[in-house]
Amino acid sequence: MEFQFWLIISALVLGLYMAWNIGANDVANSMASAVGAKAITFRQAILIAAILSIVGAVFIGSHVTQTVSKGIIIPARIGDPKLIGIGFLSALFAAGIWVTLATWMSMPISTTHSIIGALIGFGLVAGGRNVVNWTKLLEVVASWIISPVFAGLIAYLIFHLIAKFILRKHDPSLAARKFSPLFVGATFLIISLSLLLKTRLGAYAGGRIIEISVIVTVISAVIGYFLTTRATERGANVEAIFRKLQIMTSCYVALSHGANDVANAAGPIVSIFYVVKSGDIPMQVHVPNWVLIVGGIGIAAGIMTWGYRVMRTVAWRITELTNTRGFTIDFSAATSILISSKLGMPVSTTHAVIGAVVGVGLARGLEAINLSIVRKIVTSWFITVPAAALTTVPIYLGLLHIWR
Amino acid sequence: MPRIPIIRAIRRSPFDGLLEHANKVIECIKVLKEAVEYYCEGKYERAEELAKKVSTIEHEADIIKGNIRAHLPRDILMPVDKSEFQMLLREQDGILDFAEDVVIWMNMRKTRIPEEIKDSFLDHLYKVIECVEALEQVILHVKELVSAALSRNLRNRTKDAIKNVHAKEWEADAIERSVAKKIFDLNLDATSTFHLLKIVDLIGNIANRAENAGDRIRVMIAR
Repeated sequence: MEFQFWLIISALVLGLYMAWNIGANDVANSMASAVGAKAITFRQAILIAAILSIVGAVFIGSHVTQTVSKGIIIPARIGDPKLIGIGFLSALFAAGIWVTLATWMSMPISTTHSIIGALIGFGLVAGGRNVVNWTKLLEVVASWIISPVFAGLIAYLIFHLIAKFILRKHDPSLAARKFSPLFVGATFLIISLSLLLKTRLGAYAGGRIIEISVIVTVISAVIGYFLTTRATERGANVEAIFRKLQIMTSCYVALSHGANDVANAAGPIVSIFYVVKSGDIPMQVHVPNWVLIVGGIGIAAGIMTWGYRVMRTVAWRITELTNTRGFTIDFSAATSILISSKLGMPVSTTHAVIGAVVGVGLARGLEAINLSIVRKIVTSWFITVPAAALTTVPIYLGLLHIWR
Repeated sequence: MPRIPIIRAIRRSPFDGLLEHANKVIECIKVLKEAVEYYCEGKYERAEELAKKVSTIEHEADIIKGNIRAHLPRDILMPVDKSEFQMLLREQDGILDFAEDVVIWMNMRKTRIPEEIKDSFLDHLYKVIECVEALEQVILHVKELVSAALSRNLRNRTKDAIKNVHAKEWEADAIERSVAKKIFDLNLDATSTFHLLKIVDLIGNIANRAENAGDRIRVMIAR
């Protein structure tokens, strides 16, 4: 009893620490383009991010959480629930250390990569090679490459679209007005499908998921049309119209971020919860709502307590972004992250954002972008995963020694 | 320090630096104008003071140029050809180099400018200055053009502005030839003739540089 009590308490504390870190550091990267392009102030960004991270985590976060919880390692092959519990706790601990170190040394290291690396380390030390689900891991690693590339591809295409059909037109603001219902509709279509497909919310909707999504899409597009029309009547130019659209996409980004990154904190908590509750992890993990809520609140707390500093730095350091570019970055990154979340792939939101920035740059949309960041990110993949894995080993052995 | 790779990814726009450099060119060319005017009136001391000012501005612009270059390492991606951008900056900087050369060569010797050529001598200078001003109009268009994803309207407007630079350079050339002819016709002593021709030649080079810069922009904005 005493072991189980301390296990769940430590899991909650470390899980919350992870969630706090995600809110404190990672969220600024996803909200950076909206703040940098001055679509929203940094205070508004904090509010939007805090609220929508919770919404995303609770309503869309369960797939990714399942992957982190039982996809990367196969707990059944370890057997002893005590070892499983200690293992997940060590992974959480090691990932927490790496994220803290990365923040301190200001390296572009992803929370996601830290936790996945730590899980591999735990699997290898606790049960050997067979415990790690290599097929799933390969899928996840592939998603780390695919998600930024995909975000970059969407960004490249969308910016070309905006350039060709809006910016180069004789009357760009009129063209923007015509196109904005399309952008609004697309955003809401993706969001409503994500909220309803294979979710508990979708179960309430019964079989009418497609109908509901279509209705939401049409209504949002119509509202979008009226709002942008009114804005142009008041003399808004093309950038001002996109500033309005970017308020929407910044919410989209925050939602996607919550949906994907909550898993890094919630995944191990879910596993430990099952170990304590029933002694093992069932094949079909049902992610309890309260874990996602705890994770979401942890992220929100990170945003409110520390994230504002980072956000403020972003606000005065990024001054080169216009709203058309910011919109493109937001929309592309959020779409890539949200699709990854629905597929249960824990990806780095920061890397998706960077992918989108590079995509706009390749479409000749940004006046100067630094491509060396891409190399740094790839290097960080090769370092973070083994480093987090190695860090887990002594922690695991240490905890085993204490609790044996 | 938080981890914000996006801050490192999006760099300060080199076009802002280019604009800053262009402002120095305008500032410098105005001082140059005053300096030459004082020299023509025989106020050599005042001309020398202004020459120093030209050098100061040229130096300040050099620092701006260095800054832009320092922030454009190999890994930087720009919407226009980066080497064309660098060449443009070099041509624009060349304007300042020649402006400095003009005042330096001018002040080497107190050659009286004969009344017969004074007007056309100054006309040449004014035309060259118009040419530089026309170039800076083009530079103003460039940043706008880049944010509008090289829209055809703006591109045509920019091309027209470049044609204006060419036209001014052509006019300046024509005046330069007639000034040179007048200088020879006056049959001054060899030293004075050489000195005057040298100054006229250097002033003409300023317009050539402006024209080259315009051509660079034309290549840069081609889609």
